[in-house]
Amino acid sequence: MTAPEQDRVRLLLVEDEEFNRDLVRAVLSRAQDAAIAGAELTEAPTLGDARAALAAAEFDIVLLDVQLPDGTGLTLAAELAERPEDQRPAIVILTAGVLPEQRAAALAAGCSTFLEKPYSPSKLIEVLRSQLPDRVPR
Amino acid sequence: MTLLVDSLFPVVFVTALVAYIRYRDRLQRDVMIMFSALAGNVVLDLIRLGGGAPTRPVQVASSAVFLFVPYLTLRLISKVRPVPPWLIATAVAGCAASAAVTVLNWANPPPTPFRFGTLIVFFSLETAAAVLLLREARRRAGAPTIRLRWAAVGTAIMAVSVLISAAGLIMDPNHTPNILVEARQLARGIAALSYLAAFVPPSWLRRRWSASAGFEAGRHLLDAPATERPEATWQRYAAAVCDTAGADAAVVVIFADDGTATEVAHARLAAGPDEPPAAAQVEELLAASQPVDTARPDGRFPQLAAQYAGRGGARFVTAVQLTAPPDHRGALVLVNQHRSLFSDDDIRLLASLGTQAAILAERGTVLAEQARLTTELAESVDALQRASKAKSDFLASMSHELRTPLNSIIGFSELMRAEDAQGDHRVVPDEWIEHVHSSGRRLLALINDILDLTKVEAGRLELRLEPVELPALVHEAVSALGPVADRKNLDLDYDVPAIAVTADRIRLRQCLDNLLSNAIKFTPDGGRILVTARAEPTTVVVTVADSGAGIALADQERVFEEFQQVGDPTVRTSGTGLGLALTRRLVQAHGGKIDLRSELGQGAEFSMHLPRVSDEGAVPAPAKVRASSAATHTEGGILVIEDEAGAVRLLRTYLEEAGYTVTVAPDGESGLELAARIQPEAIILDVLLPGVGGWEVLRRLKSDPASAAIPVIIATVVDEQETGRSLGAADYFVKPIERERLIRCVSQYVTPAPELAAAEKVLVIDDDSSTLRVVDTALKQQGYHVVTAASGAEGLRIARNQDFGLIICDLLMPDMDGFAVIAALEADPAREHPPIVVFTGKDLTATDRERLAGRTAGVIRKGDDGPTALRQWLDWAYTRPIPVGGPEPAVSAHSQGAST
Repeated sequence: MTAPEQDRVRLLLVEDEEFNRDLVRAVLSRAQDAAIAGAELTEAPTLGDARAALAAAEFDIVLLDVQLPDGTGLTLAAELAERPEDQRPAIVILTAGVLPEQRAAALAAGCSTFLEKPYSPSKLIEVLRSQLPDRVPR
Repeated sequence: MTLLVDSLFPVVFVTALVAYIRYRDRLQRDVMIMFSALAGNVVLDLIRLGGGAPTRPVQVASSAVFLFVPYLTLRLISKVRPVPPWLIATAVAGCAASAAVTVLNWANPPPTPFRFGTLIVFFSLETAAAVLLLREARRRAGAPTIRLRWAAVGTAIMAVSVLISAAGLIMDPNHTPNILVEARQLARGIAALSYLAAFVPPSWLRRRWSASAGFEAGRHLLDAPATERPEATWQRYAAAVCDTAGADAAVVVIFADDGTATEVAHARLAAGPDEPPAAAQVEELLAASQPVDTARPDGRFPQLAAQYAGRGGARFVTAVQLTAPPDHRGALVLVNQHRSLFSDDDIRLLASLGTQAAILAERGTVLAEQARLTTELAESVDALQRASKAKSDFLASMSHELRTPLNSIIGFSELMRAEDAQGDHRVVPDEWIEHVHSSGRRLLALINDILDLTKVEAGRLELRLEPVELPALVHEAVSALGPVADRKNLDLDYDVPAIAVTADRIRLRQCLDNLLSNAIKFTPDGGRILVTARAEPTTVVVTVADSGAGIALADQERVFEEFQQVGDPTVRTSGTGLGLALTRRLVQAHGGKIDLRSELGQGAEFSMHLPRVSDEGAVPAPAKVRASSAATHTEGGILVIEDEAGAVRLLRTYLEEAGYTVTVAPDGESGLELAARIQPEAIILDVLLPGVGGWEVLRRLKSDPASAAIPVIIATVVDEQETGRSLGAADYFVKPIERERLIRCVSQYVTPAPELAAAEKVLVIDDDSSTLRVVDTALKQQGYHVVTAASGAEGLRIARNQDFGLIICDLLMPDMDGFAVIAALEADPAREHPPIVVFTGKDLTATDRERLAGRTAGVIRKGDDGPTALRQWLDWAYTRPIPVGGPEPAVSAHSQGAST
């Protein structure tokens, strides 16, 4: 059932609320899509942890909360946008900040994939599918 | 020609005479006397014109009077400026001697040396007078300067004419050469014209001279910056008046609309009395219409003049009317030590300049007002923008805070829906339910806080103020949060003297809880939190001090703002973010205040200052009405009047689990009927009912003596506590109802199911709801009455309030674990606890066993056969004496090996 090691999707979840991390984990565990269910999930509760994780490993998709204890996730998004294209993970913003100006700020930071809280698990799966890297068989 | 020249002097004389007769002005009298001496010559001229020659006595008399002119001139000058007394004395002596010589030689002209001496005396004194006039001219400004100069010129030329006579005397003592006679005549003519210009100038000259003064004063006024305050403009005017009119001091008084007078400015004058001058007195001063001499011995002058003279340290006070546009009047008051010659023109002009000053002052007022309005407007725009920004920020934060728990509720519940179905049940992970539940609680807490905040902001918070004894309240709050503090190993304690505050008990508790939770959140493990209180004359200060990280000064105001968290961002803690904001508003609603004292690294101290209950004013809190337990009732228990099935189910579950008998009425009508029939010990009443509404039901219950004593607890979505209380409700719950609070409330009025023997009641304490359900089902089947508690703290409380035959307790629970519950039960000296059976999934370590040794009646492992084992154990236990504190029963040993 699990994909070969090198084909596994590598996800980084940057989220400070524990139950939201549990939710993403639960959603992944129940996903019908093998690529997503088999994804390798790294969790980072703060920006600092996220930076450390990004320095240590490569990721295909970063699920990024905006309001984090040590800053805004958009800073991290802007940092990632400066990477060369082949080393740049796809970014999915997961945020409860849904006001037009907050959305505009996300767009300005180069994040077009925006999932507002509360999101439904199926929506999360759908968004993840749309961002799967090419090397992953669908 | 001579007549023409000489008749110029009488013109001045007549003018002064008219002025004196008209105004009785002493200065004009002196002018008149001086010119009367000069006018004497005209008599001689008239006689000569008539063809005759003046007789010798007439000539002598005329000469003698004329010789007094220098003295009279100096005398006049002494009225307008200081003149050295020796000069006056010399003048008197000189003039008298000259006149005496002339009179004594009345038959013939005196000898030449005498005549020469007389002329020299005259010349010297006139020259001195001219010098004094010039000096005075230099001291003054405007028209008076010019007129004084002309007077000086006239006096000097008068002296010159005498010098010419003296020259003639030297050349030929008996006959003055014609050329000199002509020259003298010319000099006198010029002198006369000068005097005329000085004392009776034609109006065109006056206007011209005054214009220069007006220009000068006007320039001073117009130098004022446009936005100058009106007082400053008037001050500038008063100063200009002093300079221009040569006044020693000046005051400006304006009549106000209400008929009072206000001194708007004063220059070179001591400050006025606190009381402004009475308008009538100012009018009286104006009516005098000429300088008032406050040294008059008869004292017949306006009293206000004396006041101004006193303040100016001078003698003469002159008031001129001012017109201040658009419709105000005022007075310009000048104070002088001496009378001033020639200043009438300028004073009139300055009074009209006062009108311009008033316009400038008005402009200043308008501009200042405009500036003030502009600033005010800018400030309110700023404030509105800030308020609007604060509101959007608040809404944005609120949206964020609402969405965050909703994410968990919606996400997990959607996952649950996708789980495998077993009939109409689904088996879902415990953790998911826990997340949904705790997120729901978090959402509820947030909504409650927001509603409270909104209520306070809208001024709709109704406080039920009563004397609240602090020690009891603090004890409750500290006990309730004890377990949370214990988890962080915090030393939470209080030291509160027996004082009372005037407060809404529930709200004050809420404030205290917020402060304590806050302190617990921000104090690292092993820290200390202390609640203290001290009485001040009118207030009581309740302080919650912690040994946490402290709050930087710059952040201290911000902590009281909504959704703000300060300090180390990586140590973010949960909470609604509204606790302190709400607490501050609640304390303020009590008429108190809250303040914060903290330093980084030094902990923080939040102090609530609340109104104190004075000792004599202290009244005990109204005792709760307790239903008579001796009431004759067939069923008793609790009557729930509620139409909504969901609410009924929930209330029934809560109440029955707590051991109460519950009867339900689906509408008001049947509720009233049942209440009369079964005489419940308490009634839980919904407000929104079909048919007879809740308020009407409450009213009827309270008006019927048979049911009036039954406590009625309102449980509704309608938050109209005041209505409920005024109709006699014992307590009020706004849905959703918290189980703990409800049970706590009901237990005040009703003792649960007295007919149930304690031995048959079992308390099950477990944080895992599925375990509770399973155990509950299993034991109920056996006929036990089961009460469940979802946490250690709740279990402990129920155990303390009710009697049980057995307590079944889990070991691993979040806030207060099984070890703590058992220890607390053991430590309670008030009551002996029933046997305790530990029912746990934990593998007991040697230490655990040691901790439990001698304290439990048995340990049963959770597992697939857990409930069965438990049931068997109970059957076994109830057939023989329960070995309290005895050795562990075999079941425990038996289940040791079982793994889960």
